[in-house]
Amino acid sequence: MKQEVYKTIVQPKEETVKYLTGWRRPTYAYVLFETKEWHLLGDGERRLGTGLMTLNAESRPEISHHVDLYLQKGFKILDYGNFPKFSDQSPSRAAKARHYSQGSGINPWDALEKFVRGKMASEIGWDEQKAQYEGELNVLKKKLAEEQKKLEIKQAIQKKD
Amino acid sequence: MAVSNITELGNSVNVTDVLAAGISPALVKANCMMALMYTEGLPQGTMTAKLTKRGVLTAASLAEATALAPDANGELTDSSVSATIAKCAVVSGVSVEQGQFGNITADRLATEHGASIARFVDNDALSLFSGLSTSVTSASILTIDDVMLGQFNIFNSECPNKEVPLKAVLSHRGHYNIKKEIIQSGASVWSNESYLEVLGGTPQVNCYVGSLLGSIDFYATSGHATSSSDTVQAIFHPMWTFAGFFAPAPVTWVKEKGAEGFYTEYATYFFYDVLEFNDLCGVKLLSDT
Repeated sequence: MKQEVYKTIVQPKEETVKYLTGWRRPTYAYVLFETKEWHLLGDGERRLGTGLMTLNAESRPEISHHVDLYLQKGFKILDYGNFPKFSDQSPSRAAKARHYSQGSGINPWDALEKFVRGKMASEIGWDEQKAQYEGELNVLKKKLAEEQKKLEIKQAIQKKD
Repeated sequence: MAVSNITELGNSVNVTDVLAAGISPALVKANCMMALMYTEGLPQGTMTAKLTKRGVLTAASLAEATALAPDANGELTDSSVSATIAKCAVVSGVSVEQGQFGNITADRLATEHGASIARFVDNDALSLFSGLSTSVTSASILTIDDVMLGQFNIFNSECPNKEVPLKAVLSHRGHYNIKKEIIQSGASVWSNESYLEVLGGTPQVNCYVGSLLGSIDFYATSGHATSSSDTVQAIFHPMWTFAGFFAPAPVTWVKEKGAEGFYTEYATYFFYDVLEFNDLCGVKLLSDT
């Protein structure tokens, strides 16, 4: 059976796609990183490549310093999810968010989400961006073809004269 | 066919639900990681602590009568990693009926609270393996060569205190596969009983299961993170790879509640943080889950 590639919020590198094949979203709150790591091969050779790392944010929303630590190491945030919300469909998850807010009305996972999205900002929505660039490229190609056609007609007239 | 009018067990008033002497502990993992890292107590007056990592200088040869101005080689720069203390907690409510007639005591609850916190912290520490930047991915199951490849990289990174045996914290399957390899190898070294500690003996309470030729101590536990279809285990130096800041002990509050439902609330919390100290002093070992 062919396993599906998990679709992340941020585009992964080509090598990482194989690790995302069959990857299942955890049931707990998580932040998924694409790691930059050395793969040790036989005879002590090594190759710089990528890997995956899941940071568990369940029961611990104040882990932004860990996120920072991994970003400093050259890791990239690919995805995040399952953060408990006040409006969660699951009553126990909503209760958890309320419990961790300690009556302040501020869900600590919202702060983590804001932090994580801020770190992903430059790469978020890569597929929309790709589609936009491709659209712009097509328009330019069309314009170029039109201009070339005009030029050919002009050159043909000049030749006749 | 049953015979009528026989005085059976059901005719008398009997004691029910007698507790037998045997009590099984819960089938849960033991704490492994807290003793395998650099540890300190909580910082005072702040929730954040910085662990310093010393920088180095580089010397260079110098020709006679040549000036040498201070340059990058002579600039000593230390770096650091930060720990931010977090709270881990568990709360239980015990009804007045349970308190009066039951057998779950405050001592028992405090013990269970402590054990649950220890497991949480341990799993948190195990999850740090995924963040190491060097990995060995087994072709399928874990082999001794995979572990030794990790050991090589740690030595090659010049991790200090090489006299201290490295620690390999494996899953139970990883441990089983190492033992199986020893049994199946037929190499003469494994006919020497003193080399077979990792194969024989029984696991200790701290998850220690034996040493491989005296240079790598093996631990087997559960709770490792997974990556795709691999379990993320690791070999690392116990002094320099991971660090932890721990409160001296969990604190338990006991509060009686009336209007809320007549129960006693037992709330236990523990302050701690675990983090990576030196990336190059550990290697993650990925093998089939």
